[in-house]
Amino acid sequence: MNKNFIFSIMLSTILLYCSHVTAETPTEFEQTYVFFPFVHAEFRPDVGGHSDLEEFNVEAGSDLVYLLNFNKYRAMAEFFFTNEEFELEQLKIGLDVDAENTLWIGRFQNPIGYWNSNYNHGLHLQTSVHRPGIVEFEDDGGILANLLMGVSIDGQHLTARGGSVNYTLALGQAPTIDDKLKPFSFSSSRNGLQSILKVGFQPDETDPSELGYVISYSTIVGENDTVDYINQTLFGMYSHQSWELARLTASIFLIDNEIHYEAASNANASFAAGYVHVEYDVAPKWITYARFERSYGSENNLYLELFEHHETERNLAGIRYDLTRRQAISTEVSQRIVVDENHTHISMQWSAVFP
Amino acid sequence: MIRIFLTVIVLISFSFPVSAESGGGLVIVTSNKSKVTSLNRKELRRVYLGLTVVKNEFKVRPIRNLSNDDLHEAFLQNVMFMSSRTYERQLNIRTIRKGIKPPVEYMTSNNVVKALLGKEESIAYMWKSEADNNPNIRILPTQYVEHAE
Repeated sequence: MNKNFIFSIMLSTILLYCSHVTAETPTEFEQTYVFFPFVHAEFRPDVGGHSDLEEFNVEAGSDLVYLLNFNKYRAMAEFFFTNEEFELEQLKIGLDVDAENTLWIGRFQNPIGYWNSNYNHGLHLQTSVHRPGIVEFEDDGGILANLLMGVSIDGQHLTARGGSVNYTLALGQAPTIDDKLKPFSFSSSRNGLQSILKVGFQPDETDPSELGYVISYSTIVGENDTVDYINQTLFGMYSHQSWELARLTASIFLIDNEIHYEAASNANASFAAGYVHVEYDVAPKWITYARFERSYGSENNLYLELFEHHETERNLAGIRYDLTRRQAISTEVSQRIVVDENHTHISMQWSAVFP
Repeated sequence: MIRIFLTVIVLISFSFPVSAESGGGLVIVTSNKSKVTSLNRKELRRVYLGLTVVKNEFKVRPIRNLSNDDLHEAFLQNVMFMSSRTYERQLNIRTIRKGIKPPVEYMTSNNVVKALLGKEESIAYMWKSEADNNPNIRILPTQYVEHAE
């Protein structure tokens, strides 16, 4: 157990105590915290000779979101800690411009589609154990930026029929690339910019069903000896449909990369990737789910080859049981194609949300 | 392996009966001194999703009454029209995505009433029989359809 993990547990305990005290003591400040603890076990029976992939791995940790509201101002901090890492994910300050629009400054989630905007590190919120490969976190070899440092305006326009047009417009520091993407940090020597617009439509503002699109343009600066910078254009569409007993989430991304090498040559590397995720409530506490992820143009793609373990295809299926209103256990089996190899992953996870 | 797993899941799917419980006699209440006079169905849902609803210049504050499982289920079915899982997920998503504070919740009726009387702009839900017996609280006229006894 490392020092960061112990520090995280202590920080969580202090925040838990503070929030408990203030819950019964009304003040002008309103504070809230949410924990998303988890224990995750992963078995990969056929990784064989890969020295960098473990056959069996157990990870425990939590995501902690802390909110402070004061009149029109908001502050949010998000920490993610496990037995292997400790990271400050989000740190942002917001101003409610009006009842429907909030201006944020700081480090925040990149609004790339549905999954990253809604679930982030809240494992209990996503029914499946794993995120789709296309929106995997940078630390885990993700190929798109999940975090931005900059400014964003997040708002909605209510329609006459009770629907809502939701939008997020953000401008910030794009990640850099080495053997993986690295979100902006103050130690970075130079960063490019990313601008992104996400627009979604909910036919009923109080219903979770939503569909929308996202457009982004970013310059990803290379931190290795080969890549100088990459101009990346992304267009994505997503849909999340929710019914009484079933849900469907689908996304597709078209990504164009113009790679500028240190050797003064250029190359173009475009590809498309998407997924379809379906869930069905087979009984009040049981959910079954399946997801199919595919990519096109990913073979010999010069952008994807910059990442060591980029997947081109994944099929998964799982079942989740809600132990209580705020705790669940899930079992999932997935088959992944990484370049020319086929891996099977068997996962078990306990996840929760507190308080 | 995926095929075997999918087959097992499909078999499990057909082995469970899908049932939905429903409660009755649920009412929306506020303090006798409250400036909140009425809420329509849409406003109620907005309030309980943490969205802003202003009545007579006061921002309505929702209280979740978790003192009774049947009452909570009746609230989800008759007011929110969503399962407990979907509702909890909606609240948490709005918190981590937009910094919206979720409704405050209490595990006992006494604490619910105490909180209602503490802040005049607060609203809560409870059984009608319970509300009728408390002279300090008032039942709000609401327009949700499934208002069954």
